[in-house]
This record gives sequence, C-alpha cells and structure tokens, in this order.
Amino acid sequence: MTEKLLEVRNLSKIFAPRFRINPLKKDSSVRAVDNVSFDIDRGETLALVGESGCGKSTTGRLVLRLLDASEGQVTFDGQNVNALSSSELRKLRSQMQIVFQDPFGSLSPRRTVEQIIAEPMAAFGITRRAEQRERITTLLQQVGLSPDDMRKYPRQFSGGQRQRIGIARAIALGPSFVVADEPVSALDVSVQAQIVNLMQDIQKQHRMAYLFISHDLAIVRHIADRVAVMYLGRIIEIGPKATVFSAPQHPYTQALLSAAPAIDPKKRARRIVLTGDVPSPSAIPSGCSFRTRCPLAQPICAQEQPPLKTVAAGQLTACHFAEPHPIKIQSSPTPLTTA
Amino acid sequence: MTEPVLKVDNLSIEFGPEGGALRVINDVSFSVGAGECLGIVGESGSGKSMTSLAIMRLIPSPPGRIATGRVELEGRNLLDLPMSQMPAIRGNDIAMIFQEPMSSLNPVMTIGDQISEAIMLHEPMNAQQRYKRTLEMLTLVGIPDPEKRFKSYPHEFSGGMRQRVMIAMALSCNPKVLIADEPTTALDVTIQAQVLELMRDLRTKFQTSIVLISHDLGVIADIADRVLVMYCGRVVEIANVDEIFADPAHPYTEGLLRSIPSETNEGQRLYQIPGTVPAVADRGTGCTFYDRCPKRMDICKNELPPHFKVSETHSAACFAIPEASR
Repeated sequence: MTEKLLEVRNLSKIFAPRFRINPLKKDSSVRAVDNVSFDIDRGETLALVGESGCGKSTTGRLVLRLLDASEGQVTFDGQNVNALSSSELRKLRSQMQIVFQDPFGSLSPRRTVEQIIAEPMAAFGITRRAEQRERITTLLQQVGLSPDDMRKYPRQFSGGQRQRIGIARAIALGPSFVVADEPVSALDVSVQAQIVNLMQDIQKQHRMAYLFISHDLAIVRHIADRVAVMYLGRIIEIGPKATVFSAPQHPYTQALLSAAPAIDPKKRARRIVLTGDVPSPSAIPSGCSFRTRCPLAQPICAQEQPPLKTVAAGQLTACHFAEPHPIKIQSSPTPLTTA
Repeated sequence: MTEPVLKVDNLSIEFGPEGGALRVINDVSFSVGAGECLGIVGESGSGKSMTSLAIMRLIPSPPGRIATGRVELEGRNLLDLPMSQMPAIRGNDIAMIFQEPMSSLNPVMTIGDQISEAIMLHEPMNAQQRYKRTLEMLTLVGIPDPEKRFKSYPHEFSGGMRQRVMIAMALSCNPKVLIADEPTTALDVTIQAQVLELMRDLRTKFQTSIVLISHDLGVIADIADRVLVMYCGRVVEIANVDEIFADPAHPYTEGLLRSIPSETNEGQRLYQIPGTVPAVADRGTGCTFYDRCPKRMDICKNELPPHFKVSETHSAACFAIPEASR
C-alpha cells in the first residue's frame, strides 16, 4: 500500500537583492526554483537530478523549510509546512532530516561524535546521558561504526566514515523523510558503494522516504524509484525510473543520459553533445528555458513555455514535441542527431 | 611499436626525513606513445597526482624527494637536468591541466594575456604574432567571439569555458605530452562531454600524448587507449582499455568495477570492497591489497607480487593469476 507522505505544489523561490545597487540595471532577481510540484510516498525514493545551478539543492531546502518559499505549498504528513509556527516546525524536524554533501564541512570539528549525535536527541527531550549513550551505540552500529568511535573527533575519520556519522545524526530521531543532498559525490567509488548500500539498508529498516539529490545518473539509476529532472529551476521531466531511463522524452534528459560516460563501449557511440553552456539563472530564456541548447528548437519554443504533460503512465514531460507513447513500442531512447 | 614519447621507469617518491621517510610512490613504470592516451585510475591517496607532479618535477622538496627512477622525455632523463632547465620544458614540451580551473588561472589577468604569456615564454614571436596565435587557440578550443573574450577575466567565464582556456593555454606551445589531472571532475556531465570531445579532437589533430588522471572509470573508458590502475602508490594493473574493463586481472580493479552501479547490477546490492585503504605507515612488506583482498593467499602477506603478464599488453601484480595464463 502506498501512502502519500510529502506533497509539493507550485513551489517557487526567488532570490532578490534587498535593494538595487545600480538603479539603471535591470532587475537582478534570480528565480532559482520555478513552479515545482511533486509527491513522495512513504518509503519511496525520489531522485532530483540536474546540473549545478539548476535548483536541486534549493528545492531540497525549501521542502524542509530551511529556506522560506516565495510561492507554493509543501504538505508533509497532512500538515502545511509553510504555515507552521517556529515551535511547531521544530517539532516536525524530528520527522524530516537532511544529509549533506560535504562530510568535512557538515560536522563540527570541535565536537566528539557523541556530542554531534546527541545534539538532536537533547533538542527533543532525550537528555539522560545513559539513554543517549545507549542510543548512540545502536546508531553507530547501524551505520557500520564501532561504539568506541563515540569519543573521537571528526578529523580522525575518513570521508566515508564521516558521511556515516552524518547519516547517524540524521536518523537519530527516526525520521520518516530524509533529504540527501549529494551524499556520495565527495566520496571515492568504492566508498560510494558502501554508503549507497547503507542508505538502502536504513531505508528498508525504517521505511524512510528519500529525496535524493544527485548529478550522478548511475547512482540515481541504482537507488531511485522515481526520477525528476530539473533544468534552470523547473522540472522538465518526472516519472518512474524505468521509463525515464529507457524512454526519456525531453531532449535535455536524452542529452544528459547520453553524456554520462559509459564503460560499455557499445553505448558510447550514441552521444549527444550539447552546444553552449547553461544560461544564467538571472536571464532565463523566454518560453522553454532549454531552447537555446536544444537540437529540436522551433519558433514556438521561444513563445510558449511547454507545460508538463503526461506521456506515459506516471511520466510527465515539458516539451512541445513530446508525444504520448505506449512504453512497449519504444524501449530505447530516440537517437538524436548531434548538433 | 614506435618509441615512446614519455617513459617513466621505477619511479619512487619519499616524504619525510632521510632514514625515516615514507614511500608514497613505489616502483611506478609506464610509457606513453605519440598520440596515445594513457588513463591513470585510482582512489584518493593512491598516488596519481603525485606521479604526475614528479614528471614535471613539481614535488615540493623538502619534504618530498624522488628516491629512485627515471622520467624520460624522448630519451632524455628529466631527473638529471638541473632545476634551472625545467621551466623551459614545463609548458613547452610537457603541459598540464588541473582539476580546478578557477584556482589555476590568475584572477587579475585577462585570459588573453595569460595565454599570450605562455607563448611568450616559449616561442620567439612578436606581440602581433602572439595575439594572432592566442586568438587561434581560443577558436580551436571552441570559445565563441575570441576577440572579445581575449579581454575577459576568468570570473566572467563558466567552469567549462575556464577549462577550455586552460586547455588552450596548455596546447599553445604544441606540447608533446599533456598531463590532465582530473580535468572534468569539477564540471557538469554535459560540459564534461564537451571537454572530452575537445580533448579527443585535439589529440588526433596534433598527435599529442595525453596522460589522463581520473577517479572516474567512465571518463577513462571513454577516452583512454591504455589504463593504469594505482593502489597505495603502486601500479597494480596495466592493460588496454578494452581488456581492463572486460577482463580485469587484479582483484582491486575487479572490485572497483563491481562497485559501480550499472544496468547489470541494477536492483542488487552494490559490491563493497571490504575495509579501507591502509595508511602509508601501516603498509607491510607484502601485497598492499592483502587485508582487503577476497583472493588472498599466504604468500601475499609477506611477499610483494611482481607483475605477471596476462597478455602481450596486459599485466597485473597478483599471485592469484593462474600460472597457465601468466
């Protein structure tokens, strides 16, 4: 039985300068996240993929209300997160947590592992030292560290071990939802595998939902149930992992999938190399924001912003030229001509 | 086979005081032919970057020291040259590009001036010729509107464009060898694809030999002809790119390949190499991979495995390779 845990509707975030430095210059506000909507079920993993600056991390922070949204609504477990008072929000924090990318910057260098993991417990009324210790012991074992590590400082651990500490801190209060913001990008390949396995084990044990933010498509393919692709603040394609990877409908998704270097030599031949760079988020092109790099762009793309429309069961794509298709007929991505 | 352009022989690097020094690089040997791309893979701390710095003689000394070995560029041992001759070789015969293009470019100098400076140091040209050459280089690496971009500063460029500038600068004096140390690690995938495409183009155009250092096996598979796998400062396996990915001989290479998520292991648990990389001081006399190896035998504990030939182009340092195929 699936059960909706998180509902995000029309979420937007505009970063505006507090005052204009140069009144002659045009508005320099940045629309980092633009009209983003998605749902996450209990125990499900939704991956948010895209290139740097596309608004993935901002979306993750908006969902947790670490940042306040400019527009839109986040509903978590039936509660409207945007409307909560700060004390109510604080209560909810035990249910929604975050794991950060940088295992070096996200742990205080001056605290022991015990202090780091005990902090969220103390904030939620678990103040007895003995009880904290007991829980920390269990947590450390769960994330594959030894209880003796409690007394050590973060600098005494490798990157992968630190990420384990970060995960132990995030799950200390048994949250039902964790935002994982590039949790393995800073790690070596063999350590990545360890952390990915650990995250999947913990998810199974606690039936946690993940919003897994990543730019690494191979990892996403491994861990996600559903995938949302972002480009310049908008979700341009969202759907079940299997269909997004086997039959991507948006030209950007197709290019992104083909650009990832593959070890299998057979898959290397069909690469779509996009021309140009991602436009600045303070000057997003009119209409479809991808049109400046899109090999399929037509005049209509400059005028109208394509809405997300259903192209297959559960798969939505924002492209004027995406057409509904029965998934069985088209099982491999349409080869695009390189520009 | 033609004479290799760059040949590294038994290179060892030590850090620390004489007597109590720690060897971070041990007996590394390889060669790169003209127009060939050699990929060096390994995890953080395996000695990839240290090896490339040694080729350029950029190891900070003290505390570092090249203990043994030769680095031959077209037959000439660079390690025998007086330090005063190295600047004439760096950037001219061997050029290097780094991972973080922003921190390798001068922020208060226009990119045109920075590329011209490299040319000025190595080529007898007047200002006008230099300007022309710089514009050519910018066009070559695909920077649109080079006249205008000549006067831009690095902060006005995106990450991918900066890496193009670095490549333009590195190639401006037609080097024989290009060392690329994680050239695409800081870039997005679509931009990474552009930069790799560019490097491939330039290699065929100028017959430049490339030493590509990366921890990303996908990137290596994409562009390299031959692959060298490093672990704990040693070469554990070297082979042609197809051999290594289809049929890895060293258990470490095999473990690395199995730990990458792919279509074949989708939905399964990822393979984990047990344990962690041992610290430099804790490495015993035997195989450095002993503690983590699924195929370990008694002999591996105290004896260092030599390189066994699996095929003409493929060798690996492991006792578990069956006698028959050595």
